[in-house]
Amino acid sequence: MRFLGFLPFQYRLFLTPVVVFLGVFIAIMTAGRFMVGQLIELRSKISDVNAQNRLLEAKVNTLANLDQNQLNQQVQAASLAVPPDNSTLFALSTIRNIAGNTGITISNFNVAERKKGEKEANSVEVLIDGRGSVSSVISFINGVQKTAPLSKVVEIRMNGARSSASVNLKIVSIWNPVPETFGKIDTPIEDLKVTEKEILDKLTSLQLPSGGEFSVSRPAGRENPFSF
Amino acid sequence: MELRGGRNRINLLPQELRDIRGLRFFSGIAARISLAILGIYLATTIGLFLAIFLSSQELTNLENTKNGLTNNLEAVRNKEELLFTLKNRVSLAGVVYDKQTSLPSEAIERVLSILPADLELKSIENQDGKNVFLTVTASDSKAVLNFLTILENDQRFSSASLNTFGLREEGVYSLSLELK
Repeated sequence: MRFLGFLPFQYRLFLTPVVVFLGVFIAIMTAGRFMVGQLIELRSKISDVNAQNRLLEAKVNTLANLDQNQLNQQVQAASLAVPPDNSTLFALSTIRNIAGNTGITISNFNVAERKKGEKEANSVEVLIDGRGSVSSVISFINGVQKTAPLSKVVEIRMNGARSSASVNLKIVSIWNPVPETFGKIDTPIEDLKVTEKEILDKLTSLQLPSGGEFSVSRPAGRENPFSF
Repeated sequence: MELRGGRNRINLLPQELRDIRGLRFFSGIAARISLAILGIYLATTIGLFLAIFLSSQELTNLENTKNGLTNNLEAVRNKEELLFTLKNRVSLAGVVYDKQTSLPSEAIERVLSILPADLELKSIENQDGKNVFLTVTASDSKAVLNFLTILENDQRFSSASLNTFGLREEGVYSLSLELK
């Protein structure tokens, strides 16, 4: 203890406690803080992983309870109702078939496409001028609304007698591409809600158009291109 | 040298040692406290080490569970894609079904269902399931009165406004109405 000779004797008595205090203080400020930080970080990670696990577990359970075949059928029906591709021709074909079946003579039609944003569906507006009895017009409207693709008659004008009325209809049909990104694996997913199930029931109950298949004729040359 | 009870009390310690007797007492207390703090610190440090070790173990276990769940999820990823597509289609269709409570066809059917046989329908119009505009003709006033009574008694229409009412030269009554 010779090196402490410069200290007066009475201060040397407090040397040990002071060194211990200082040592503990320094240890708390360095190692102690580091360890507490580590522990807080670990607990935070544990909490995050726990939350993710709960989410994944719920997701696995939700998906495990779904019947693959039923899901396939539902998606097929829903995709027919709201086609992933432009449904103009599909809608026109359906309208034409239903008109034929219900006795409506279509004299003129006009088609306008409306492209919307990502969240809203693209739509096809079909304006139809036709003729038929009132009851056949009603059957036609009901037929259009109960057949895929999902269409809605938004405007009706009828003029004439009950037996033969001229009719102007505005029919809106929707389509939209299927989303390409399905979200990350830890994105929560819920089964269909009650309201969604009700809509799905309506979609699956839509009838398939009779003879709705298109056969696109191959382009072929004509002898006289100006004569039809 | 102190005088106490008639006896002499002699302190033989050197002067500098005599001065630190009180300090020695306090230094002893300080040494004990510092040792206690050191002990507490060491115990806390051991506790922290233990907590960090156990938390690391817990985290590893949870990560393993997460990996297992992720693998399980990968196996049913196809179902997730189908459900996602289904929800997307349903939400798009929901826009069509939610836009209105009543469809034009329903509104038209409602009106046609109350139209008596002695009235002739001339025109009917509806947009977005709202008001129905109707023009009818009747051969006599009795048929007009009958129709208006039916309208008055029908609970499905909240209001009916008679927009025009006329008698043509050929004796035919013509009415145009707006029904809500």
